[in-house]
Order: sequence, then C-alpha cells, then structure tokens
Amino acid sequence: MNHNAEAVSRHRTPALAGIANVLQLIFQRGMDLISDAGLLSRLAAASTPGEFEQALETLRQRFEPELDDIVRRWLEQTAATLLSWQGLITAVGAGLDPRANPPAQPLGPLQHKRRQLDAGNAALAALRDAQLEFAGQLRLIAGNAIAGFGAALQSQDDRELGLRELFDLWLEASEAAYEPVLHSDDYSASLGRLVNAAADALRVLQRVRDEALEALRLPSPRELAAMQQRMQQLRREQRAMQQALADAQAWRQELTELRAELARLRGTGRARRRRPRREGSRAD
Amino acid sequence: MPIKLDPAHIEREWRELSGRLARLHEELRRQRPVTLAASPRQAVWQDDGATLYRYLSDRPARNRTPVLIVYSLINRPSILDLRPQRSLVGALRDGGSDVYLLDWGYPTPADRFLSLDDYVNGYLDRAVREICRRHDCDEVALLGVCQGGTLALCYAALHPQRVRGVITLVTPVDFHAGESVLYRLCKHIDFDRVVDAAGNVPADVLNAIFVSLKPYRVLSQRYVDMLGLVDDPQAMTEFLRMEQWMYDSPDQAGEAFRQFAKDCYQRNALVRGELRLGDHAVDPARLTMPILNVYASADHLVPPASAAALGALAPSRDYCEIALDSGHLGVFISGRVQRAFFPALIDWLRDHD
Repeated sequence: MNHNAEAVSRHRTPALAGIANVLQLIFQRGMDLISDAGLLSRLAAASTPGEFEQALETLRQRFEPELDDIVRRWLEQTAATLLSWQGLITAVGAGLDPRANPPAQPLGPLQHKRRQLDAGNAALAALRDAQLEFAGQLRLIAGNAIAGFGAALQSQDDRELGLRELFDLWLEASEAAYEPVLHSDDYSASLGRLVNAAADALRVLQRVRDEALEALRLPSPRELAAMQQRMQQLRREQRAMQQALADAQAWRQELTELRAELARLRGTGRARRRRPRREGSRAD
Repeated sequence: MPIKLDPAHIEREWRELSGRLARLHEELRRQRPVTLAASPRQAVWQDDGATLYRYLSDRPARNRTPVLIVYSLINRPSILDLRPQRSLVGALRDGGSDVYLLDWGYPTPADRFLSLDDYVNGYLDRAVREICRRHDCDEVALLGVCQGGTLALCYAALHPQRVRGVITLVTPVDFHAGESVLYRLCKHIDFDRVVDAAGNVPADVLNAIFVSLKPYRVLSQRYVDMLGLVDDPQAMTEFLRMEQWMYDSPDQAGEAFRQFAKDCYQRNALVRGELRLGDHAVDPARLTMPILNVYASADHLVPPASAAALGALAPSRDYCEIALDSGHLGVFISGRVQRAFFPALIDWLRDHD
C-alpha cells in the first residue's frame, strides 16, 4: 500500500492526486490503530458504557494527531512540488522579494512582475485554504467512522470477534460514515473549491513559466498549445476536404455509370427503332 | 458489554494471515504478466490514434448487419474481452454477428483539442463508413458501453440512416437522475479552468476520483480479499487482469472532456435536447431506430434512473430494456449476470437484423 501511495504522490497535479494519497494514508493509519493490541484490549476490557466511551475517546485522541500529520504531509508535498515554480516566479520577478510588503499599487518598470508575483502568492494561498477546508471534510469522515466503529463494536453482544470480523466492522462503519459526506453539498462544494484553486495555481505558474521560456527564446507550452489548436483545425479541414473529394469521386463514378446506362439505353432504343423498319423493309 | 476477543484465536488468525501473505508474495512473483483481450482480432482501419478492430471467427456471420462496439473514452475496452469465458465480444461473435470495436486509443498532448464532434462525427462516422464499405451495406448496429453509449446515441441521432439499431449498456442519459454522485462531484468544478490549466486531463486524476467513490473497498477490502485467492491461481490471474484493467486509463482529450463534463454532467444537455456537436444539434427525437437499453440496478456510477431515462427520451417504437441485478462492473465480469443478458443481446441482434 505504501508503494501505491508513493506512485500516486508523483502525480502531475499534486493537489488532486493528493486526495487519493491522503485517503490511502488515512486507511493505513486507521488500520494500524485498530490493530493496536493495547487499544483493542482496552475496548475489550470495558465493562460499562462509560468505560467503553472512554476507550473510544482514546482512539479518537490517538487518531487526531495522525490525521494532522497526514494533512501536514499533504500540504508539504504540494508546497514542495510548487516550490520550484515559486522560485521561478521570484526569479522572473527580477529579484523581487516575495516577503517584502508591496505598495498598494505596483509602480515602476517591474510592476507587471510584481502583479504576477502577488497573483502567484494569492493563488497558492487560496490553494492552501482549499486544502485545509477539504481536510475538514476528511476529519468529519474520520470522526464519524470512529463513532460508527465504536457503536458497531458495542452492538456485538457476546459474539466472539476475530481479526476479519473486526476489519469488516471497521470497513462497514467507515463506509457508513463516508457515504453521506460524499453525497453532501458541503463535500461537493469543498472539492470544487479545491480543484478550482489547484487549476488557478497551475495557471498562474504556467504563465510565469511561459514568459520565462519565451524570454530565453525557447518554445513555451503556450506556443505549443496554439500550434496544437491550429494543427487540430487543419486536421479537421483536411478531413472535410478528403470527404468532399471522396463524395465528388463517388458522384463522378455515379455520373459515369449513369451516362453509360443512358448510352446503353439510347443504343437499345435506336436499335429497337431501327429494327422494325428493317423488319418492315424486309417484309416490304 | 465488553467485546469478546480471544487472544489465542486472534494469534492463530494472525499466523494464518501471515502465512497467506508470504504465499501471496510467492504467487505474485511466480505469476507471469497477465494478458488482456482474449479473442483473436485484426486491426482493419486506423485513423490517427483510433483503431477499428474486427473480431475473427472460424464461421461466417449469420447476421447481415455488422455490430460496432463503441466504448467509453474513460477506460480501455479490454474489460469486454478479459477472458474467453467472460467475453462480451466473444459471445456476440459466437452468437452470429460480425463484431467490430472502435478503440479510441490513448490521446497524446497533441490531441488536447479533439472535441466530441471530432470523436462522434469524425472517428466514429468514418469507422461506420469503413464497415459499411467492407460489408457493402448501409447500416450497422451500434453497441455503446457506458459513456460510449452516450456517444453512440449522439451518433444515432445525427446519422439515423446509418444505424440499424442501438444497444446501450450501462449508459448515462439523464445525468442528473438518480442522485448521481458523479454529477454531485462535478457540480462546483469549473471545467474551463481545469482544462485550460491541465490540457489533457490526466488519467491519474480521473482514477483518483473514481477511487474516491468507494475508497474503502477499492484501496482496502480488495487487497484483503486478495489473500483469500492465494491458493487459486486461476482466480489470482483474474484478479490481476482486473487490477491491470482498472488502472490502464487513457488521459482525456481536454476539449472533449470539457464538453462532456459541462454539457452532459453539469447542463444535462442531452435530455434537454440542447446538446450540440460542432455545428450539429443532437435531436433525441431522431432516435426512432430499435433500441435495447441494458442497465444495472445497483450501479454506483450510472444510476438506473439515469440509464432508464432513455425510454422516455427516445421516440423509438421498438424500445426495450433489461435491468440487471448487478453493479456497474458486474455487467462485464460476473458470469451470473452475463448468463442473464448475453442471450438477450444475441436474440435482439438476430431479430433486428
């Protein structure tokens, strides 16, 4: 599972692929926690609802820093991926210090770069806010899953549980906690903000990258995209012409066949018209 | 009140699991790379990245009308032919049809401006013409799978003279019906911003979204259950085939993805009769050809209500539907489900030949 998490984390859009990564880490840590023998034995040893709730609270408290850690890693991972971009913004900003307090209105020959730098920082800040907001949804799911898992354990009465049964109870409780959040408007809105913020951050950084490459007289992805668009348009026009040509050839072929048919019919008609005269002349 | 855990029992179970894990490791080392696409086929036509395959048979087809399978742009069509015993294409071929598959391929960065119009009125139309040319016929039967079904319906509405009949398999039609979770997730996403930034939409992003629909089952239960297959090499091979298929996903051509997400998922334009592909309006009123609509009653990706909406949308007088007791993937991999509907597909194709 760790291997898969690594694979996902190498993704081109870290904030989005990070979602799967984060979910995977949550499962993994969650599984580690419920398989913690001490914790399970405390739950098993609880003889009153109060003791049980206390053991569950311990589980919650244990999980909280785990989740904090996961979210911290997610943010760091995104930041690390974007760090090189941020460096580029600063470099393109010709030595503008991103920590410096800018004037209310950028002035002077570097004002365009200043705006770019501010836009980049604003986009990255918005992305961080969106990630934190989305992490709030994950916290909600984790909290509900722990409560659901506790309730499921309590409802087992005297049944003896094995590892597989515990896993199944955890799975069912977690899904039961996840599904309503997944279907909620809050989750959908939070995901939307996260994806949009990631796209905005990417766009700002791409603009800077394009300008830097173009300044070095290197082909930029912006130019490549413009060429691809033109190429696609040419492909469409070429297809349309090929089709028109094929249609014209088909019509020409049909016309040739019709002419041949007409000629054949005319020939037959003439022959028929001539034949009675000949016959008549013979008869005469 | 206290939950009952017997340490001896747990230890036994743990030892057994550890043993299975070691055997699983060995088995995975021993297994050769699995192959997908079981049925023999021949590439008969190529157009940019799109390839038209014809499935080979020892016997001549009984039906005169060739069948063209139109698969989704999202995943790969190998799920239709994972192995001979579970092969949709094999069943159709053995049922008497000449079967073709339009494989969209893997869009490259140069394909980011491919639109839905390019896919439907371009590749799909040219593939249909090619089949008609080869068979000296005017019409084909279309079998659209999932999103491919939506594309097939668009094609049938735009070119009804070339379509003998349409079979839709787990196909979304009303994208807002049945509490569609994909619609809900799409609702607040600005796809213009996403596609402008990303160009082609990376397959990994879509995989992450699909995984996030059932994360506990896909990322956790699936691999725990895998331990149970360790003594069954055949079942393990099947598992690995599915595993390979699940993450063998093409990137999505940016423009086509933008339009599908915005027009179909967000605006629900197909059922509103407002969908346009290029200069052409997709008019559902032209779906007068015979239609067989097959959907799954426990589908978490395409809710049954979304697929069944085709019945009210299409004015066809020859419309029938089959609701399968299955989830989305069960239609392709479950022998029980396939036994329930493969014969119906074969009969329908024969009856509408």
